[in-house]
Amino acid sequence: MDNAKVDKIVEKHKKDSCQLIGILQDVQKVFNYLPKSALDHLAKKLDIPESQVYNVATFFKAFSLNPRGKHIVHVCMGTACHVRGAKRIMEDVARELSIPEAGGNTKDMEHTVEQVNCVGACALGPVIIYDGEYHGSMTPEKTLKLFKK
Amino acid sequence: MTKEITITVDGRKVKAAEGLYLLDVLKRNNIYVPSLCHHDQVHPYGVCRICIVEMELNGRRKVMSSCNLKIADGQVFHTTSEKLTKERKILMELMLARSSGAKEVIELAQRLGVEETRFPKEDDGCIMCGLCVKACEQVVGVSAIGFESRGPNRKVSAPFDVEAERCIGCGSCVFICPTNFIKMEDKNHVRKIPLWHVELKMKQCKSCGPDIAPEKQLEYIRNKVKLPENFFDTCLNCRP
Repeated sequence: MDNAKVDKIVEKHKKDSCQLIGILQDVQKVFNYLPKSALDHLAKKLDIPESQVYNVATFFKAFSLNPRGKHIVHVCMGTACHVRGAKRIMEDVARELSIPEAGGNTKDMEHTVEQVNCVGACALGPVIIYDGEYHGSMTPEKTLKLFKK
Repeated sequence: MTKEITITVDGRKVKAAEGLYLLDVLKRNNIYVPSLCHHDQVHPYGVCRICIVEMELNGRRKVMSSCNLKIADGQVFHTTSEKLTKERKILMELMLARSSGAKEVIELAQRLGVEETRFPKEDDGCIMCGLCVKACEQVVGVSAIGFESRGPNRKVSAPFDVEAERCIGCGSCVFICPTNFIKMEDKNHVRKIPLWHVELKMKQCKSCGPDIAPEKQLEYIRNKVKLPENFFDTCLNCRP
C-alpha cells in the first residue's frame, strides 16, 4: 500500500530523477517522514542507486528519516531569537513535554519539536513555527498555550 | 578536431587542446601542482583544494582549483605564489589532523613543508576526498556507497548505514582510499568490509583451492561481460 503511494508521487513527477528533492518532499508529506522502505522503493522506481537517494535525504535538514509526531514545532534558535529568550522557551517546552532539550518526539507522538537556526523573521523574535504557522514575540507561557490547543 | 590553444603558466607559453582540465595539462608539461583527490579514472571532484592555482582575471588574481578547471585560450595562470603556499599549507594541516597516520598524506605534507599540525589529531580518519564514492560509481559502476549528511557530520557510508546491498566486495574503495580509512579483511573464506557492514562469501578455485574473489563480484563480472557459467570455477593459474 505504501509503495502504491510512492508510485503515484513518482508518476506525478514523470519518473524524472532530477526532481528527486520535490519527490522526497511529497513523500515526506504523505508519511510525515521518510521511511526506509519508501526510499528503497523510490530508488528502484527512479532507477538510481539507493546511495544517491540517501545522500539527498540526509543532506537537507528539512527531511527526516525518523518518525515524527502529528504536529511539528520549530523553535527558532537564531541569534536574534536567542538573545530574546528562545533558549528559555526551549527549556520550558522540553521540561513540559519531557523531551530532550535538543528537540525530539513526545511519547504519545503528538508533537515533534525541532530547533532551527533562524527562519528569517528576526524582528518578530522569539519565533515559534507550529505546523507551518508563524508565531512571533513568544514567551514560555504563550508557547505552552500553543501546545495545549 | 579540437582546437589548439595557448595558455600562459608561470610566464611560460603552453600549448594544449581546448577543453582539457588544467591539472592534466600541467602534469603533461611537467609543471608540478600537488593533488590528492584527483585520480585518472574518475571525474574531477575538486574537494581537496590542494591543486589550487591563481588565474589572472581583469588584472586580479583569483584562486581556483585546477583539477576541474577547463582551460580556454589566452588564460594566464600562476602555480606558485606566497598566497598559494600559505593556503596549501593550511589545507594540508587540516588534512593531516584528520589522518595523521596515512603515508600518502604525510608525504604530501612534507613535500609542502608541513611537519606538524596544530589541530587535534586522528590517526586514520577520512579526509572526504570522495574517491571511494566516485570509484564505486564510475569505475565499478555499482554505486553501493555514498555521502551522508553535510558539514561537520558529513561522512561516507552505505545507504542508511546498514549493509550495502549493492556492494560486490571488489575492494576498489579500499584500494583507492589514500588514508587507509576503509578496512577490509579476508578470513575463513569471508571478505569483510566493516565500514559498509558487508560480509561476502569468497569463491574457491575448484582445482587448487584458495580463494579467488567474492562470489558476488565474480557473478557481477560474469554477467557484465557475458562469460560462460563455469568461467570462474577455477582461478587464473588453473585456467587452461
